[in-house]
Parts: sequence; structure tokens; C-alpha cells
Amino acid sequence: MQKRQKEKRRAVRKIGRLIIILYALTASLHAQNIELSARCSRTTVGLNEPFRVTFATNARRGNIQPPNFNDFIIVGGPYSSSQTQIINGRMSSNRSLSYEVVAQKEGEFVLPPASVKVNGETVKSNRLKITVKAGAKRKQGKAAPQGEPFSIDILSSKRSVYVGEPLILKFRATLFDQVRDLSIVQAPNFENVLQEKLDFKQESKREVVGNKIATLLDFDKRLILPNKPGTLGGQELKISAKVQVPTGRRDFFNMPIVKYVPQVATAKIPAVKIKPLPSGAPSSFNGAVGNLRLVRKISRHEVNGDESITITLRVQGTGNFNTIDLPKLSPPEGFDVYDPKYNEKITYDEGGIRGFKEYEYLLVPQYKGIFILPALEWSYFDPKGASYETINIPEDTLTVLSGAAVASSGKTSTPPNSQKREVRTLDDDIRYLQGTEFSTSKKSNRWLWWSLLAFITGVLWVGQFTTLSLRKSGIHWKNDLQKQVLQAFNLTAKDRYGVMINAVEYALVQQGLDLENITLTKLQEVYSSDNAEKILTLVEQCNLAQYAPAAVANDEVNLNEFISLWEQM
Amino acid sequence: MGTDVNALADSAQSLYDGGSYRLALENYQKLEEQNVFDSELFYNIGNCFTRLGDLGHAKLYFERALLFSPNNVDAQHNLDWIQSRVTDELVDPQPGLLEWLGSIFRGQLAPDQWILLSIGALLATCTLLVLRKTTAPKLSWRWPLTTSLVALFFASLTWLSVPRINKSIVISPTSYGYSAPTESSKKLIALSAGSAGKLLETKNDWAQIELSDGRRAWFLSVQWKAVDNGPTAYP
Repeated sequence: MQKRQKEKRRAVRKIGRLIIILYALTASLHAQNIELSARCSRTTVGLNEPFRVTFATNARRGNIQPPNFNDFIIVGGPYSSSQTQIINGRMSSNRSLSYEVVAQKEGEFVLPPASVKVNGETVKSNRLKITVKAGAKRKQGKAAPQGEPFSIDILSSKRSVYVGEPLILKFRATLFDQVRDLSIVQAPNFENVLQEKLDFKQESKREVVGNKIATLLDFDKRLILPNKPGTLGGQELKISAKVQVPTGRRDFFNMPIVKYVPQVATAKIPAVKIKPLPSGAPSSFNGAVGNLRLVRKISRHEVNGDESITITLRVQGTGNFNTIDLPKLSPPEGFDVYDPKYNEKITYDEGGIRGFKEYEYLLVPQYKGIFILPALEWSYFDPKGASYETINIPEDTLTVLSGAAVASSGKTSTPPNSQKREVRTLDDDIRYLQGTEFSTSKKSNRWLWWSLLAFITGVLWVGQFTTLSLRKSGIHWKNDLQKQVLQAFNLTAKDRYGVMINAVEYALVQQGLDLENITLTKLQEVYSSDNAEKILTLVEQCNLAQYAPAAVANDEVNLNEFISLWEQM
Repeated sequence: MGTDVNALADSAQSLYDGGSYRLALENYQKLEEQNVFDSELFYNIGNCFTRLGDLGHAKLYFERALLFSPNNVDAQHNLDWIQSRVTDELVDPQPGLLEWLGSIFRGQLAPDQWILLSIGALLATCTLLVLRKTTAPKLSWRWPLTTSLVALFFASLTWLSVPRINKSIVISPTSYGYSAPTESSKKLIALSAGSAGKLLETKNDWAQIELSDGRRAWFLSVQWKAVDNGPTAYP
């Protein structure tokens, strides 16, 4: 039983080992599928002789990471190519990355491996061992060795300069063959130097150099402005170009077919002595070197209290504008000085650095009076005369005419340096006096008059109201009595004539007549004689109707007579 | 009297033209003392103060000029000029509804003219009432009622257009606001000449002022002047 169990365990272990071996084999096979190789056109090269380094892989994906070409300079590339082919249904691909490089010095060098990363796995190429030999030494200058297609000279405008004095480095190519794409492989590496590539129009001229006709071409110019004393130059630069070479073949028109191959030439920067500035610099010197001028412009010398003055301090000319500090304005008493506005215009050319730097100060007067703008002293070093120059600007006066002791809101602005002039507000002052004729104000009694009139009006209104109420009460009884009479006659009431005579008598009493003594004469005193007679007749008719109704005319006649008279009563 | 006043005004103007603003101001102030309450006089006084750099007083008098004549554009211009130079960034107190209405009606007619219209309407009412009582009893009562209402309307406009504004202005270079009417209390605010506020109450030599942003403090009364303090004698 135990034997069987031991055999089983051995079998399991064997299977496990087999699986591990198979897995390892598969992995190794898989890794072998992706390859990255490095090769170069020549393993032994001459100094400055370009050669090609190519990295090729069969991986379809992943970027080829080139090594660090520490001992070489890349003069061409990278050139990439890819190729995919299917043979007997089997697909394969090939990608490559190439560089044209030159060695910087003689010796044996090992180019580190390139790498490509595919599916998280990094595959490295082989290392390349390259031997660099001296090869054919080129002479500096125009006398190019036999067979060299071009040579480079670096010309300096000066052999010695002061700190801050500019010099120009001119890169001149002497071309014996067809050459194109001249470029400085590595820019001059100077310390404490301002280096500015100048824009200029390339012009070539033909000259006999040695016994050959060559083309002279200035293809690069650099302005150099040293900031510290020492020695500049001695550095060797590499310049690459593409040179036309025949292929030995001819085209359809029997013209020779040419190709351009990269070539590198070297040139040495001439030594230039950077002299320190002489001692004895004035106290107002702050490092300006060149042919410079300091200008102080004052927009106006007389202002009102609500106006402003613009003072411009400008350094202009040719000099080391990269390090020049503008002098500070010493503001006069009695002015508020706003933060200055900075302007500059600098151009780099063969004459050096030209242009100007300026500060525009806005001064707003605070008090009325005459104020002194302090004098200004500023120095610079003139390299031509090898001496310090001092510019003295004398003190000036600023007059504030009026409107003192007011802090302006700064509305008045300085005219900008544009062609269009800003239209400034000139009407920024109080307006002139008004009126010349005045009269003393007496205490007005118009309210008194108004009150009196208002009282009179009130009285009149009260009078109006009283009359109205009286009139209204008279109308009231007359209407009531008339209504009673009309009602009695409408109902043919027995005492209708009694009602009528009562109404007439009431009206007569209202007029102040004595009923006991009513005569025609008395009635004529109140009413017209015609109406008096009619009233008397109506009263008699009413009395008669009360006792002998048959003797009286009909009711309608009497009622009409009553109505016509009632309006007059 | 009128000749004296105008001679003084002419003299003040000559002095002003010659740049003697202090003397011109003194002459104009003499006119003010002689009860010349005129928008133009206040305007001229404001101009003198402006030329002398006293922004607080200048603003006070331009405000007075505008109080009497809200349509005085020169006074408004000069007040704006002063306002842009007042140090404190503080909005002036806004007038109340009645003050605002008053300035509108005052811009149309002076209070004296409004009351004349009211008197005219009252006279018309009286005439109509008398006519109705005597020769024209049939004249409708509505006519005198209408003229009476017009008279009352003009009277109310007269009352409204009387110059009044609750606005005081700092006339000293600096005025400190305290939490209580005593200098031993806590200092709350510091105002410069030309700042304005509303007078709430006075206590001895102190005035409680409310600023447009709602802050209140006690200030020394002598450092402030009310805009309508001068023309109290105005009808």
C-alpha cells in the first residue's frame, strides 16, 4: 500500500517537472521570435567621417529606443523604414532606424545597445564596437586638402574686447563641390556670454582658392557679448553638410545621377581675449558698455493742480542692453509718482546691440508751487575710447500753477507712443462764476396773503352752503305740498280743495302775509298784480268748492291754475 | 441796498479774476450775511473755496446752489469735479421721497412762483363765489370748487418745493466719529473733508451722523455743516 502511494507521488512530481520544462521551452521560443540588431556601415572609420548606424527589429509594434551617442555626433537622421512580406502564407515584418554619425575623437568606442519594448518585454540589441582613426587631417582655412568638397572658417570681428563689448563670429564655408544643408552640429558652448544668432541675407562670391575656383558663403553669424573677463574661443566646432557625389549611373537622358551624402568638417573658433573694464569707474557707473546716451524728457514744465507731467528716462545707442540698468528718477517734492511704464526696442546686428530702454514716469502734483527736479548723473564705459563717460543732466524746475493740495485721480494720461494721439480731456476744471446781479431776500409775506385769501374763500364757501341749504329747505316744503294736492285730486278726495287752500295759505304765510287780512292790495305787494288776482280767485274758488262743489268749475281747470301759480309762489 | 450788493458782487468777481480768491470769498460771504440767498451766490462761494483748496466748504456751497436751483448745470459740474477729488470713497446719502419730489418741482418753478399761482387760483375762486351769490346765481358750483382744488394743489407744491435736505458735510480736513458723544469713547470712523452723511440728532457739541452705508457715529458738530442750515429764512 505504501509502495503504491510512493509510486503515485513520484509520478506526480515527474509530471510537474515536465510541465515546468515545457513552459520554460515555450517561453524561450517566444522570446526568440522578437529580435533587435544593431549594425553600422563600417566598424573602422576616420575622424569626421560620417558612417551609418542602423537598428533593425522584426517586432511589428514598439518604438526602437536608440542608445546615447555620447562619443559621436548625429549629423543625419533618424531615418526610419519598415517592410512587411508574406512568403508561403507566413507573414514577417522588418523595421529599422538609422543615424548618420561622426566620431568626435580618435579611439575605440562601444556604442551601447538600443532597445524595443513589446508586450511589456524589453528586447535589447547587440553592442557595436567602433574604431576611430585619425584619417586624413584637414587643414584649417581656405586651403582645403585635395579632394575635400568644402571647408569652414570661423572669423571673429575682434581679437580682444572689453567685458560688455560685442563681437561677431562669422561662419564662412569654402565650397569646392556642390554642397547643401550646411549646419553647425553643435552650437558654440561659451560660458558667461550672450550669444545671439543674427538674421542676415546669405550671399556668396566666387574666388580662386589654391588653384581651384571655390564659392565663399557666410552661412551663419553670431553676436557674442561677453559678461566676464577671460579668453573666448579655441573650441572646435563640427559643421555638417550634404555633398553631391556621382553614383556612376546615368538617367534616361544620359545625365549622370548624383546623390548627396553627409559630410562633416571641423572649424576652430579663434581665440578672443576678454579684457576686464579698467579701474576707476565713477560711482554712477552700473555696468553699461557701449556708445550710449541718456535722455530725460519732461512733457511740460508748468501744469495746473489737476494735470500731470510725464518724465521719460531713456538710454539709447549701441551697447550691452542685455545688462544695462536704467537710472532711477529722483522724484521732486510735492508730486505723487506712479509706477513707471517700461518700453524697449532692441535689435541685434553686426554693429552690436542697438536700440533703447526707457521708463515713463507719471507725476501728479500735490501742491501749488515751484519744485526742483534733481540733477541726474549716469556713466558708461566707451570701449572705443577705453574710458568711462559720464552724462550729467542738470536739475530742472516744475511749476504747479493752481489747484494745489488736491490729489488728482490720475485721469490725465500721457500720450502713448503711437501715431494716433489720444484726445485728452481739457475741460477738467471747475466752471466760471455765475451772475453779477444779486438782491437781498426779504422775508416773503406771500403765505400771509395766501392765508387771508384762503380764509375769504372759506367764508364765501360757507355763505354758499348756507344759501343752498335754505333754498333746499324751501324747495322741500313746496314740493311736499304740491305732491299732497296732486295726490288729493288724483284720488278725488272729498277735502281736495281743503288741501289745496291749505297749501296756498302756507305759501302765503311763508311770504309773510297775514291770512286774516288778505286783500288784493296786500297780495300785489308780494306778487305781480296778475298773479295776485289769480291767487285771490283761486282762494275764492277753493272756499266755494268746499261748500258748493257744483258751483265750481271742473277739478282739472282749478288744478292747472294751482300748478301754474304754485311755481310763482 | 441793491446797489451795494451788486457793487460787492462786482468787486468779488474782479478779485476772483485776479486770483485773489480769499478776498473774493470774503466779499461773497458779506453778500450772504446780507441775506442774499441765491443759487448763483452759493455757486460763486463754492468756486472760491475750490480755488482755495477747501473741498469740504466748496462741496457744501455747491450743494446749496443745487438745493436752490436743481437745474444749475454749472453747480452740478463743479460738484462732480469736487466729488472726484474727495478722498473718502463714500456715497452721499440719498434724498427722501419728499426731498426728491421737492427738488423736481423746485426745478420747474421757485416756491414763490408756486404760491403766486395758488394765490391766483384762490382769487379766481373768490370771484366766482361772489358772482354766483350776486349776478350769476345760475353759475355752477363746480367752477369755484375746481379753482379751489387747483389753489390747494399749488399750495401743496409750494410747501413741497421749499428747499430742504437732511445732508451734512465734513468741512474740516479730518473728522473722527466716536461711539458716544465724548472724545473718551471709542473712535469708529475717520472721514475727510467733503464726505457727507445724514444728521440724526445733536447733543451739546456733538452730532450723530448716519452714513449712506448705515454706519452711525458721533462727530464734533463744528466739523460738519448742514446743507440747508443757511437758508432757514427762506419762505
